[in-house]
Amino acid sequence: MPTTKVSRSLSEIDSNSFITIFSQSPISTQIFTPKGVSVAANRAWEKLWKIKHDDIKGKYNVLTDPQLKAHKIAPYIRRAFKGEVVEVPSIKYEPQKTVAVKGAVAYRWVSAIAYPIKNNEGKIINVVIQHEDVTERKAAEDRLTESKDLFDTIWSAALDAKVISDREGKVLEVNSAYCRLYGYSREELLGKNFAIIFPPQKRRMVRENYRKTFESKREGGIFESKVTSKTGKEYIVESHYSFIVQHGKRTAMLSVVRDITERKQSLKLIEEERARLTLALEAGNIGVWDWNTKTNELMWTEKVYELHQVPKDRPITLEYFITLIHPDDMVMMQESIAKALRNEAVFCPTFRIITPQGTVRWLNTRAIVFFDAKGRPVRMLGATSDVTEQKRLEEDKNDFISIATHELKTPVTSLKAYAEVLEQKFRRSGDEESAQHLAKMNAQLDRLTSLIGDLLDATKIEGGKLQMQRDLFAFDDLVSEISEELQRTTDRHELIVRDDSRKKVLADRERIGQVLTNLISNAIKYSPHSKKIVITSKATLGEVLVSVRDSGVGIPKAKQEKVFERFYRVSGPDGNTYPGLGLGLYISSEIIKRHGGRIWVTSTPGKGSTFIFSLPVKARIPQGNNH
Amino acid sequence: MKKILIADDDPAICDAVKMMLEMEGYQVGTTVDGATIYRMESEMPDLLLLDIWMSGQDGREICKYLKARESTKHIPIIMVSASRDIEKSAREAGADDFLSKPFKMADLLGKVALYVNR
Repeated sequence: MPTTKVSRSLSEIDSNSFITIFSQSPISTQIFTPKGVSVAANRAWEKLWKIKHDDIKGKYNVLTDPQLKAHKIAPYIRRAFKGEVVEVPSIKYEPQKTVAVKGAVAYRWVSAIAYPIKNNEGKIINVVIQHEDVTERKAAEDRLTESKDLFDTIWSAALDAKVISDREGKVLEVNSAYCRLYGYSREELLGKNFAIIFPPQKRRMVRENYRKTFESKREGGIFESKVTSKTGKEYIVESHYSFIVQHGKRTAMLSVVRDITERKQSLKLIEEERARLTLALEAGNIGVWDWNTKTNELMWTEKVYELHQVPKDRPITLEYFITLIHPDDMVMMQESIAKALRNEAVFCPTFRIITPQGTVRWLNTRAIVFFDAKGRPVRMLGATSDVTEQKRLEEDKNDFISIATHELKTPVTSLKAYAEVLEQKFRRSGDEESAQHLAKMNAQLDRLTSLIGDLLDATKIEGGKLQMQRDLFAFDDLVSEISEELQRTTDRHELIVRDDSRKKVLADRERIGQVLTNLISNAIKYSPHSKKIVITSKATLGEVLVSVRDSGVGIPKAKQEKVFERFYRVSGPDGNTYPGLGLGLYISSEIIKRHGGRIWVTSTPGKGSTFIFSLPVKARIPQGNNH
Repeated sequence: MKKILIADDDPAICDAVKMMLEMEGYQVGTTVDGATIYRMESEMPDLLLLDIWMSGQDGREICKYLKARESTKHIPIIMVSASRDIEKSAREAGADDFLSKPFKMADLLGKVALYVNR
């Protein structure tokens, strides 16, 4: 605003100079008549509005500009024309909407200052409006607001507790998560030193540490601490701190605090669990292995290295493991793995390895297979333990039983010889009664022999040493022979034989005879009150089929699978068991299976049972040991 | 009268089988020591009942020996054992037949009759 003093010195200046000043001025200036008509504008004006003043000179009236009206600027302008100096707030001018102006482009944010020029009498002779293009400033302001809004959103919505504090630790900004965590309100924290969240005795140390951290060279870090909220709740928190740097100097610290109490607890539980597992594995002398079936990578725990007596630094691959397997067990192992990968069987083989030092060890391993969504195997995770000792004990036991049964047979042999001779002697001398007694004794000796034989057979089966022969014989003859023999042991039952297979069979005659004996004597044993036992044989496709049917106590459905298990003995309706070792069906089942046949039972409790087995006419007996 | 020699390390078996065979009209000799068979020069039996597992001796070895010797290879040998599985190796050693213990008298007498009259 020109003052009187200034105007005096100015009046000495040439008017041309003023015109030059006016036109060269970088500030957009426009001069209006008191009635509002634009009469002059400088170059800066033309540059701002991108139009030539000559195009609107005399035609444009600022008092009637509709855009100004629309922006509610008109009152400001009118005040200037009434004699006031007015600062016009910035508005968005869109020049192309102005009546008299055509062709000008874009919009500008423009603020302006409008003032009247009065003559010496105070009459308004002109009004000047000077504009400032504040588009850039406005854009910057907008961006700032946007980013502030963004910041606020991020700041307040954060789940993590955040605090910004200055060099001394005074809280400059804090979010609601932080307040919630420590149990203080925003007002209680803002402007105070953050150390107030700590118990009084700790505050001094906390502030010291804070200052040290602030001064240190480190640009940031993480640390854990235990804190107690206002309400007394204890948390374990993890704090990430970093610094806000302005103009190259650290001005504040940003701390992000995360409640890791739960995570810590979980980790603790996991660690305890892991320690427990490791201890259990160690106590059980169990090693764990992990095989990725796709990449073929194999991982062994330390224990597995020990079990295989392989140095711990040796890299382990599946191929290397295979080289350790005993050649006799190779086929079995490959089949077991293949079946497990096809999800056909549980993987639990017992096998031998030959360690790099050349010793043989027995190992047992069991694993589970993981499959992907398409059912393809991806991983096998297993546990291995050394069973050499158990195997030795088992072998010793089996050897002992073999020897024992052998020994038992010796006195039985002579007993039987004496009994048979005596029976003969009594018969020849006509003493039928005594001969009968001896005959009964003989039958018991046969029974004893049979029991010893069963015990030995069961042991052989366990040890994989049950051997079978190949005999070619007429099947029906065997069936009749055995049936006749067993008929002699009972007068309460009638054995009805329908042997109709008419086949010659390639199998172990004595063993198949053993199976028939077992089934028929069981039929006799388990039907004490009924009379008929029907034994049939017939031929089907490449097989002979034998069934032994009784009308005895029967077997409940739940137990029907179990009868073929070792040691299984059926209990009668009153709960007590029938005499016998429980080995007969187990051995029979084994014999039939070894021939490539099948054995099963159908039964109704109270009505009776039918035991059936099938035997391939050309029995497929694999030779050699099996485990 | 046909002469039968029983070799078994259990004296009770020797005694009982001797009784059994004598009742059938055979002349019977027994031995619990397989080594004596090696020293057999004269008075050869018409049939030998040979136990496989005798203390200190393997009956199969004795069988092989006898079957190889000119003077004894004609003697029929029936091998006896408590183990049935051994039959194959018994026959391979040259035995004419095999009997598992405990045996039925009828079976024993039948086999003896079969081979002693050859």
